[in-house]
Amino acid sequence: MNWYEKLPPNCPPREAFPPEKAFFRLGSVPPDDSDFWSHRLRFPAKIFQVSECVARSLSVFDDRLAAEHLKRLLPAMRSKPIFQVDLTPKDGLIQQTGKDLHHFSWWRSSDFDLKTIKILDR
Amino acid sequence: MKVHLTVQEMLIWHDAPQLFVANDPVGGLHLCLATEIAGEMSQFLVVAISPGRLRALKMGQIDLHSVFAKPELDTYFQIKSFEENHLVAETMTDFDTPPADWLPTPGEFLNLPQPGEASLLRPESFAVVKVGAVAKEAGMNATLLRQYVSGVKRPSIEQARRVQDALHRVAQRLLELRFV
Repeated sequence: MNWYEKLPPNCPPREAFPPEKAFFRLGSVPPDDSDFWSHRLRFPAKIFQVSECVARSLSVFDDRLAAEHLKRLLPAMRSKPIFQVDLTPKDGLIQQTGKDLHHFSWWRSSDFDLKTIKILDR
Repeated sequence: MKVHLTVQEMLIWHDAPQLFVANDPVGGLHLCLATEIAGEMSQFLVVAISPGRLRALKMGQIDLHSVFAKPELDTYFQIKSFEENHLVAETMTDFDTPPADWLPTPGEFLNLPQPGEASLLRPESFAVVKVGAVAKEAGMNATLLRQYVSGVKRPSIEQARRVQDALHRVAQRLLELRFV
């Protein structure tokens, strides 16, 4: 698979799997490609408290209610719109990460097409 | 006043750290909430939190807004920088109560799995052992265990206990090893 950004060795982990359903992500309006960049790509010098592999992934939820809950819970997320992304195996690999069981890390492939996203709220 | 903090537990990660627990040098707990995620240095509001209140927050007995709007100690900190592996938090003196847009919505609780909820076959639990070996020990299909670990499938409590027991048995055998 051709990854959208350079990934460290053994990343994605072996347990990651091809997605085949709708996922939800917080972004910005109007959406642009940088809404689908990892934080490592956005901020190369930033210090994260997670593995480099997760720092190079995108956070998505497998449940819209979980995304809505996060918007209410966190002030930094409050103004962000929710995107629906219908991920298919060509779009990369995903794995559940973090304490929220609806949270997945998505390692984006170069084949993901930004035009397929749907903006659910603003 | 400056306090050096070390991240102890990430509670919410979403593209970047959003909410985490950190320790000060004498073991005091602090809860750190991202108020703005932009640039190389995100902005975090920090309050001290007792173990009991942290437990209540994680159990869904107190909402996140209350923790930050009514901190146990009337002091707010803000993370200003990193020094080596530590976060440097400084006391905020410019307000008694943070601006409303820095606070979580009242009545919103953390959505963490509760004890007894089967779910978390965390990948890091398998970092030093082969998934296939643990599956064999548990008498389980290795593909199924990989699906549990990746999150594509969720195990029942019984299945989670089966894997847990298998990991413990493997760990016990490792503990019994003696080379010298």
